[in-house]
Formats: sequence, structure tokens, C-alpha cells
Amino acid sequence: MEIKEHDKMFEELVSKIIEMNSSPEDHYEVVALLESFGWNDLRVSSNFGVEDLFELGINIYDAIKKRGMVGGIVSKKKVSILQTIILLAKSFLRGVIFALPMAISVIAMLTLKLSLWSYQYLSTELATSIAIATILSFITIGGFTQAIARRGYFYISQDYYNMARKITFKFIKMGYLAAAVVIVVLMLLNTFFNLFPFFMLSAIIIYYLLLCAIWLSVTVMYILQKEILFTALLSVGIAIVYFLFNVIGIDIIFSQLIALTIVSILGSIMVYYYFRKAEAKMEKGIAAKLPRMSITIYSVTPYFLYGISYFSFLYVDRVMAWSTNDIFMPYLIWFRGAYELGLDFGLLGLMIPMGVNEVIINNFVLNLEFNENSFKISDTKLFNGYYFKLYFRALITSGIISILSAIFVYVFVRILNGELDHLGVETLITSDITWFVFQWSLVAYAVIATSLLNAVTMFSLSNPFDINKAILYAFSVNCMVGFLLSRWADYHYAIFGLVIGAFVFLYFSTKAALKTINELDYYLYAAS
Amino acid sequence: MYDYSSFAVHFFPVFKYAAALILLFILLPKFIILKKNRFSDGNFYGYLFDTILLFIVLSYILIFSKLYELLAVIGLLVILIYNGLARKKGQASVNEILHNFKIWVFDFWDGLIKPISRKMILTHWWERISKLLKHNYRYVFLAIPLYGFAAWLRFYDVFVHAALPLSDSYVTLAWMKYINQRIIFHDGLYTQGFHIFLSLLSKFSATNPLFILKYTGPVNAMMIIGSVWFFIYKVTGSKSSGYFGVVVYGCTGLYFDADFVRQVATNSQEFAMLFILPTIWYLIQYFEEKDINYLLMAFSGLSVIGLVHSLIFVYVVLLSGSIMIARIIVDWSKAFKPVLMTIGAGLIATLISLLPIGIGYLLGFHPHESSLEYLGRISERLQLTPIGVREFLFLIGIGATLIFIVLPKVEVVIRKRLFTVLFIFGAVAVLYWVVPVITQSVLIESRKSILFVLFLAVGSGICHALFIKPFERFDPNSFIGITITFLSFVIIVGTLKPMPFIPIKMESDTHVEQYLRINENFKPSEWMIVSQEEEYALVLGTGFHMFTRDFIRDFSTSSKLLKYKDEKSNKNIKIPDIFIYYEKNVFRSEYDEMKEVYDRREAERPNLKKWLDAYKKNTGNLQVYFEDEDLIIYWIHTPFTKEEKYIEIWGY
Repeated sequence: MEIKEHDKMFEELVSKIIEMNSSPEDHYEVVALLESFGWNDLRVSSNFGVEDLFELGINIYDAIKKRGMVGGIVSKKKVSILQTIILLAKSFLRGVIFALPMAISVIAMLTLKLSLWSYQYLSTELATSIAIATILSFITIGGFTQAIARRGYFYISQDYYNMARKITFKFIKMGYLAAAVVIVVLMLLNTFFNLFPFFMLSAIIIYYLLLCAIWLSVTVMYILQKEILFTALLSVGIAIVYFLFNVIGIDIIFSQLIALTIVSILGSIMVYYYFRKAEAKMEKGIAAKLPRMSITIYSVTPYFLYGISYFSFLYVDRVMAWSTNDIFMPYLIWFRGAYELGLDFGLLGLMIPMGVNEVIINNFVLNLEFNENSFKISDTKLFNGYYFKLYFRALITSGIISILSAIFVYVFVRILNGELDHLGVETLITSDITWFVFQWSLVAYAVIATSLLNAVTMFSLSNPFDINKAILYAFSVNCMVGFLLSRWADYHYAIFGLVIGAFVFLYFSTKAALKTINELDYYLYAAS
Repeated sequence: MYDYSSFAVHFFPVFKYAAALILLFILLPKFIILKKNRFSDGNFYGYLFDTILLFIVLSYILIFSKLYELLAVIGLLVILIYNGLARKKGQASVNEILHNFKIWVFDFWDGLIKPISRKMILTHWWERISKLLKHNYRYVFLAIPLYGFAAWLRFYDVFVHAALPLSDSYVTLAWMKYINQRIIFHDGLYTQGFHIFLSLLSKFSATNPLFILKYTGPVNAMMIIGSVWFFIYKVTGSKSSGYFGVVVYGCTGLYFDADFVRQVATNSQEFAMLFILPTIWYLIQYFEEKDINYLLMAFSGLSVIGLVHSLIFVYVVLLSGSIMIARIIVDWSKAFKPVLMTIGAGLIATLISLLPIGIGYLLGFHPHESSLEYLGRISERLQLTPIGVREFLFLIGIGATLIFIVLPKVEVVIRKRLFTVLFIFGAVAVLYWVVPVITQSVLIESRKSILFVLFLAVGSGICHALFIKPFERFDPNSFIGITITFLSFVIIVGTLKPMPFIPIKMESDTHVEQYLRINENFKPSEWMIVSQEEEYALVLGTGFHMFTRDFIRDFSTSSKLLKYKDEKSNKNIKIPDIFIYYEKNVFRSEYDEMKEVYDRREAERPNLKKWLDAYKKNTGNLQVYFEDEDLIIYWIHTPFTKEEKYIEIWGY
């Protein structure tokens, strides 16, 4: 019985090693892998009756050899059509699910006239405050989101939930600290520059803090693959706002603040609970220490910067538009709903491409995993060329899907608007400015969607540097074009900042991605 | 009750104003202007000239391109700072700074960085201050009462009276606000460098432009006083003589010039005046040392003056001419090239000064009419100014300079310098006595004292320096000079008993205080004041303003929401809060030329009362917002409906 148990454990270990590397160089590599799993001399001796790790390493290496080196001779696993469809559908849904909270918010706004942090009849001051809080929260937390996703996911993918929790919570703490710093800076700036009156500043700070808390929880839910949970939380939040505002009659701002507080606290509790649950399932006895914080910071800094730059790029055209002093500007930034509405509807165009991108990238990475050992070192050029073509095709596919999605959303909104008008119901879009921004934002988002495929590909190959450059160029162009056109033409021409910035992002990210794919062998080696 | 003179009203504006001044004119130039020794060797004014010139030129470009706003200015400053850093230290150094920052971050996370203690910072600053005091404590103790007293004379009105000084202030305030809105030459072509300077200050201090306007006048005046000290000190080498000049110029109240009251008001002329003496000094120094940097500083000074005030520009050109003549006489062979260079620099400065006006002209703007009319106004009764006390003192100053020149054991360089100054005195004297009589120009006659009093103070300083010269050997620490200056200060103040400058006002303090109260309590763009002309400049940029006469004429009393009487127009004005100033007693200033205007206002009063009574009877929507013995402010409140808010926010 004991021998059977011992053999089973040995076979599992062999499979696990093969999973990590199907063709290890020698038994030393096997030993290194074993150590990385947390095995030591004492444990292997008591579990397998061998003297030390090296003896077990030799045994496993022999066993792998007996099975036949997997690399080079193992061809692609046969996957049925149904399995493929399920796999693709899963990837697609995982991509689309990002947009679900947004979709629910839009539906809530259209039907209930309110959402978790918006309300149709807010005063412009409060709308401005909430808009600023939202933008600031995205920009502040964007970097931490990327860091958590990168590092947390790294440990989770290796089943080190305890380390994932530690590093995630460390980043969350840093996120809160950054938010606190932003608040202090904002208060100082406000004292000096008199940007907003006290009530607006208070609204900005409270909404900002709660939104930051929510974004941090959402990120953790994402890495724990609990994306649907946030959608559920958001729905609960909207229900609370509706109940407090419409049924009990509490002021909309207080209703939203209560709901946001509940959602952020619930989110944090859930995150903690799911981590603990995952940790409980984890293999016992593994208590590796986190690397030095400076090393972690070094490794995530490019992703962190990308997070900040990406959200800055996405929102800077709004800042340019809303700061245009063409009307009687009471404050430095003045919310203009017609512009915001256009962009919000434009965002719908991102839903399908995001799902498709997820499918494409999953397919690409899976394909890579299957094929990287099928090529000999002498076939590097062939290997890179093969993937260059594959990636190029993927990029074209993503581009076409993005364009089709934009056309579909445009036609859909146009028809829906017309129908609502026929029915005598309040239409979705009435303002010419909203139409204008909506049309051009569809173009921008279609281009951004394709560019994001480049970004994700580069990240999966651990080469974020050129993408950072691309997004920084895009951000600068967005700023410049948005600023000039909003001042010289009209405020809503700031949308061209986003459009031209998106094309700049596409150009530089594509250039970088294709260059990376052309040196795929090197990047795969570096990423491993 | 709104108390303008309270500490609470001024605390934040003063703090922000000071912070903006420090940021724009002390901290930022450190990174942008690439000169060494900012605070030594008299380079401070050079820095200031370069900085102001840069800001004015950049702002003009931004205004003409319709891009002038805080974001654009900040963006440009960031580029300039980066560029300045890269030029100063080299691009490699900038990369190194970034690299070091990265290492700092990593070390911080590894716990290798210990925060700098407060004690260390305090010790560092205390060392710097004590070093400064150790060498200058005598002068610091002398300067405090002198500058303190001069400041009291000039700042009193600013902190106590809310009403703006003189009629010019309203124009300056309006032009500053127009520039804030990227509107240049609103009332015609006029040098607007100073208004740009004010606008920049208002943007960076983010306080009500009214405070910027009020504080800047006395700040300019104090800077002029500082320039008097600077010039005398540089010419004579004696700090205590410089302070003697400060006593004469800064602490004698209105004794030498009744126009000093203008120093409380904020005018471009006074702003330009603060550049006169340093510019002249840099030019003198250029001729002495032939160092091109001094010419560049003089060039910057002249350009700024040209962009700010044309008359002062002409004055400085005249003084520069006298310097060149003096140097040609004393140094013929060596002065030839510097003279050519100075003429070249002067021509470029003239071109820079004229460029905005030229562009404005090409864009279709017409000259500022009242300035043009004033410029051309001729009197046929102007005669030679008789010798009074101030003229006598001025001549004594010339005499002292002459004596100084012929004194034995005076270094050649000082002798030549004083000879140059003598020529400047000559130019000022011609301008004071001769030019007005020859030209019969009212403008020159009214402004002839500007340079005269400035050089009266310079002459006094030279007298002081001459007087203490024999004691130099026995008194290396200049205790005698300091004592004479201090005693003179006590005697002058005790004898003349100068009182704070209180300029003529165009309205009562209450009018302005109530505007400030409204501005503080109501959202920008959602209120309107109905009153006489003065409030227009105050309200501009934050609320709406309507003249009382237009209001009575155009609006019906029958509708709660104000509607035009003209039924066809079917228009109404939707402003939630409207404040109507009703003067129980019409305010009358000391300006004779305003009599007609005040009579008209008197006539409007009963009509306004009738309108208000009718509106109250018809709608009941009229409250009293404020009342005292001279003024009632009525308040019409019609808040936005839910639908109006919806339209405002979503654009339809």
C-alpha cells in the first residue's frame, strides 16, 4: 500500500516536472525544479526513501528519458472541435467580462437614471467632482493594478497563494498610500490654486478614495479569476443606491457614498476570503520567502508605469476638453456631459474586440507552448518567421474585428436612438457634440483595441519597455493635439487627440511587437 | 458683515501672492535662466529682467495663438526647466539624475535610506542665515525700520480700504482679466507687458485678481526703493549711502512728489520704473568692464521696459544716450565698440518692444484712443519750473557729484563712473526744465518728476557718500554712515510726519466689500451685479455685470424670471442670483471730470427705486441682501430647475 502511494507520488512528480519542462537538460535541472517546488533533502528522504535531492533528480531524469524526451517528438495534442469551441468561448467570455460592469452601469443609467457613482440629474459641480475622482482613481491605481496582476498572478499560477496574498496586499497597501499622497497633494494644490470650493473638493476626495478601494479589490478578483463577482457586487451597489435614494429618500450623493462604502468593504472582505480559501487548498510545508522588495519593485516598475500611462492616455482628452475655457469657466475643469456621453457609448465598441483579443492571445500562447520545443536551435529563423506571419495574421484579424465591432455599435446605437425617438421615449443621444464624439471615439477605441493586442503580447513575452514608449508617445500626442484643437476649434475636438494618439499607439506598439516576434527565440528564452 | 481689513480676508491672498512671486521669480528662474551667482554681484535684477522678459514674450505668443492659460504656461515651463537642466548640466547628467533617482527608490525599499532630519534642515538654514547676519547685521538693523516705514506708507491703504485706488486701477484690473481670457488690446493698442505680468501672477496665485492688483502696486514701489539703494550702493560703494537714498525716496511721504500716491495704485508706469536704475547701472558696468553679460542684462531691462511702458522706455533711451556720450568723452578709444554694441542692443530692444504693437496693428487693432489723445495734448502755458526745495536738493546732488569727481585719491574708475552719473543728472535736468517748455507737452510736464525725484534720491545718496568719505579710514564698518542715515530717518520722519498714502477712490469700500462677499458665497457664472460702471472690472471673469441704466431700460417688472420688455425678443436672462446696487447717497469722488456722470447716476436713482418697487409688488421675489446708510443691495433669487440643470450638464 505504502509502495503504491510512493509510486503514485513519484509519477505525479515526474508529470509535474514534464509540465514545467518537457525536456530537461540533465538531472541537475530536475533538482533545481524540485527545489523550486519546495522539496529538500529531508522531505525527499522521508517520502521517497532516497538519500538526497540529487538521487531523486537522477531517478526522475531517468524516468523522463524512459518515457522518451517529450520535446521534439511530441506533436500537438489533439483537441476536439467541441473542446476548441469551449476553450475559445471561455477565453472570449473572460475578455468580454471586463466590459460587463460597464454594460450594467450603462443599462442602470438608461433605466434607473442612476448608477453606483453617477446620476442623470447631478449638478455640474458634483458631476465634475465625480469625473475628476474617477479619472484620478484610475490613474493612481492603474499602476498598482498592473503590478498586482503581474506579480500576484505570477505566484498564483505556481499555486503559491500565500506569496500571492502577501505581495498583493503589499501592493494594495502601497496603493492606499499613493491615494493618500494624491489626496494630500490635491489639498495642497487646492489651498494654493483655489481649484475647487470645499464641497467639491470633499466630494472628489471621498469618491476618489472609495473608487480606489474598489479598483484594488477588482484587480484581486481578476487575478483570482472571480471576475463575475465584481459584476455582482456592482449590481448590489446599484440596488442599494436605488433603494436608499428612491425608496428611503436619502440624498443621491449620500446614497452613492453608502453604496460605494459597502461595495468597497464587501470587495475587500471577499478578496481576503478567497485568498484564505485558496491558501487552505495549497500544498502544506511550502513557506518560501518573498524576494527583496527592491527586486520586486524593479521587476514590476515597467508594468506599473504602463498602468499609469495607459489610463493617463485614455483620459487626457477629457481633461483637455473639460478645461477648455470657451464658456464661462467657473473652475479649471468643468464637466461636459455631451462629451462624456459620446465616449461612454464609444466604449461599447471595445467589448467584442477585448474578447477576441483574449482568444487570439490565448491561442497564440498555447500554440507557442506546443511548438517551441518542436523546432531545433538551427531553425530559429524558421521559427521566428512562422510566428511573425502568425502574429501578423492575428493582428489583422483583431483589426478587422475591431472595425466591425465599431460599425456594429454605431449602427446599433443609431437604430436604437431612432426607434426610441419613434416611440416618443427619451433618446440616448440628442446632442450633435455627443454624436460627433461617439463616432470618433469608436474609431479611437477600435485602434486602441488592436494596439492592446500588441501590448498584451509584449507583456506575455516580458518585454514591456517598447510598449511603455509607445503609450508615452501616444499620451504626448493626445495631450498636444487635444489641447491645440480644443483651443483652436471647439472643446469637443479634443477627441482627435484620442484618435491620433490611438494611431500613434498602434504604430509604435505594432512596430515593437513585430520586432519582438522577429526575435521571439530570444524573448522566449529571456521570459522563461 | 464683511470686514475687508481683517486678517482672515488677507491671510490666504497674501500667502498665495507671495508664494506665486517666489515661485515665478525666484525658484523657476534658477532652472530656466542660466546665470551664475544669482544673488551676488548685483545679478539679481539681471535674473529678474530675464525672467520677466521671458514670461512676457512667451505669454504674448500664447495670447496671439489663443493658447494662453495656466495649463499651457505650466507645460511650457516644464519644457523650459528640462531644457535648462539639460543645458546647464548636460543631457548625460539629466539621465544620471534619473538613474540616481531609480537607485534611491530601490535603496529606499531596501531600508538603506534614512530620512533627512528636521534638525539637519534647520541647522543648514540657520548656518546660512547666521552667515548672512554676521557680515550684514548693521545694515539689516538699519534696513528694517527704513523699509518697514516705507512699506507702512504704501501698504496701509491696500490692507485697510477695499475700494481700488485712482481710476486707472479699474482699467488695469479689466485688462488683466481680459488677458486671462486671451483677449489682448481690448480697448486699443497699448503696451500690455505689465498686464501680462499681473495676469500670470493671478493665474499662479489663484486668488481674486483684485488682490493681485492691490498688492502689486506697493510691491512695485518697494522694488523701486530697492533699486534706489542698489544704484547708489553700486555707484558709491557705500551701503549706508544707499540707505540714505532709501530714506529720501521711501520715507518722506508725499513731500517731494504728490504723485507718489500712484505707488499705491498699480500702474504699468511704476512697474517700468523699477527697472530704470538697475538697467542704467548694468549699462554703466558694461562700459566699465566690457563684459557682454552686463550689456545683455541692460538689454533685457530695456526690452522689459519697452514692453511695459513706452514713456519710461523713451526716458531710459535718453539716459542711455547720456551714458554713451559721457563714456565717449572719458574713454574715447575704448568706448567706440561698446557704444556700437549698445546702439545695436537698443535697436533690438526697440524692435522687441514694438513687435506686439505692430502685430496688433496688422491684426486690425487701433491705437488706444485716450492714451493717444493724452500723448498729443499740448498746453501753451508751460514755463520753466522754479527752484524749490526739491530742485535745490537735486542741484546739491549734482554739486556733490562734481566735488566727488575732483576729490583727490578717488580711483579713476570711480571718477569716470561719477562723471557718467553727472551726465545722467544733466539729462534728467534737461528733461525736467527744458523739454516740457520746448514741447509744451502736457504728458511730459505731468511725468517730468518721475526721473527727477528718482535722481534726487540718488544725488542725496552721493552727498551722503561724499560726507562720510573722510571717515572711511577710521570707520571701516561704516558706523558713522549708518548713524547719519538712521538719524536722518528719525529727523525726517519726525519733521515731515508722513502719513500713509490714501489715493482718490471711485466708490466706497462697501461696494467692493459686498462684491467680495457675493463672489465668495455664490458660484462663479451664476450671479450678476446690477450697478454703476465701477463694478464692471471687479465682476469681469467671475460673474455678470449690467449697468443700472440698461437694467431699468430693458427689463420688465412683471415676470419673476427677468424678461426683456421687448415682447418680440422673447428673451429672458437665466441667472440664479441677481444683486442690484441701490445707492441711497450717490458716491462722489474728487475727480471734477466725473461730475456729469455722478449727476446722471443721481437721476437714475428714483427710476431704479420705481423699478424695484414694481418688481416686488408684481412678483414678491425681492430680498434685501445688504443695507447700510449709503447703500442697499437687493437680491433676486431664481434657482435653476431640475431640467435646466440637466440641460447644462448633458448639453441638450
